[in-house]
Amino acid sequence: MITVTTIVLAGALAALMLWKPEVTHTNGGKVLAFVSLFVFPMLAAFGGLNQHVERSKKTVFCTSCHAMNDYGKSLRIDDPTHLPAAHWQNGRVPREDACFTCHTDYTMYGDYKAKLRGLRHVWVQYLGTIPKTIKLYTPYNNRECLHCHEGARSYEEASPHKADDVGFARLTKNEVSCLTSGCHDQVHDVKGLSKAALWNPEPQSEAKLGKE
Amino acid sequence: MIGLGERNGNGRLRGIEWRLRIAAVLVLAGLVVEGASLTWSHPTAFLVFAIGSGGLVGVGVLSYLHSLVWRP
Repeated sequence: MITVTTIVLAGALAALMLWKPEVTHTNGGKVLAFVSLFVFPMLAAFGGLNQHVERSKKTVFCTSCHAMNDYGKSLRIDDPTHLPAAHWQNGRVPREDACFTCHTDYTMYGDYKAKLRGLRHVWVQYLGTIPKTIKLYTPYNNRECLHCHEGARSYEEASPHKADDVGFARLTKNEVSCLTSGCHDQVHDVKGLSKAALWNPEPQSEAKLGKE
Repeated sequence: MIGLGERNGNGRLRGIEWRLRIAAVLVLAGLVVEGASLTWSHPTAFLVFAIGSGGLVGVGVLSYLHSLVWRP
């Protein structure tokens, strides 16, 4: 709403400059021109950028590209061992920000890194070649899982996590992967999607889930 | 557009006012593109915003700043 107000105000001020540029003959007019043609346009541009970045965190946004359709559908796989589906269907991640919640880096500049990677995806979508198999740039870091699960009773009390060959310390140091050590390895099974049963929530739940 | 601004001896708008008007048109066009891009949640909308709106507003602001240091 603030962004829209800023754009409207910036537009009105720019229109005033277009209509009566002679207002700049006075000192007050010079200040008005500076506000109209520099301050407000920059504020509106910053606000717009902020809005677009916030929108790009939405699941609907991520799955709006054809290459990501199946990844969005995989959130509906009716199998509790399928990790992304179990997280999405049980509300363990905010459903409308599901992709970003798991695929950002929980570091100081992680969000910016994730957005820069997103720009690369846009580049590939329009000007590059989309690979047949979509892979992560780097192996999935336990840090992203532990951002939510560390300290949770279900995580702390699970006996496999306490076992000698795993251990909390090794999980925290990312020495044993949550995903590729054979424990939670069912992620985004897009190849098996055609055979998988999909969860169809009740209409009222559907409305809460959004259109993923 | 001539006739709305102050005119010089030849009945034409002064150069700086033309430049302000050009800057205003570019900024306005950029804001319209920005507003349109915000009605759509898609990667293409972001590109339209970044390239279209960013370009127009950027050139508009630069053209305004240039008009401040420009001498006829």
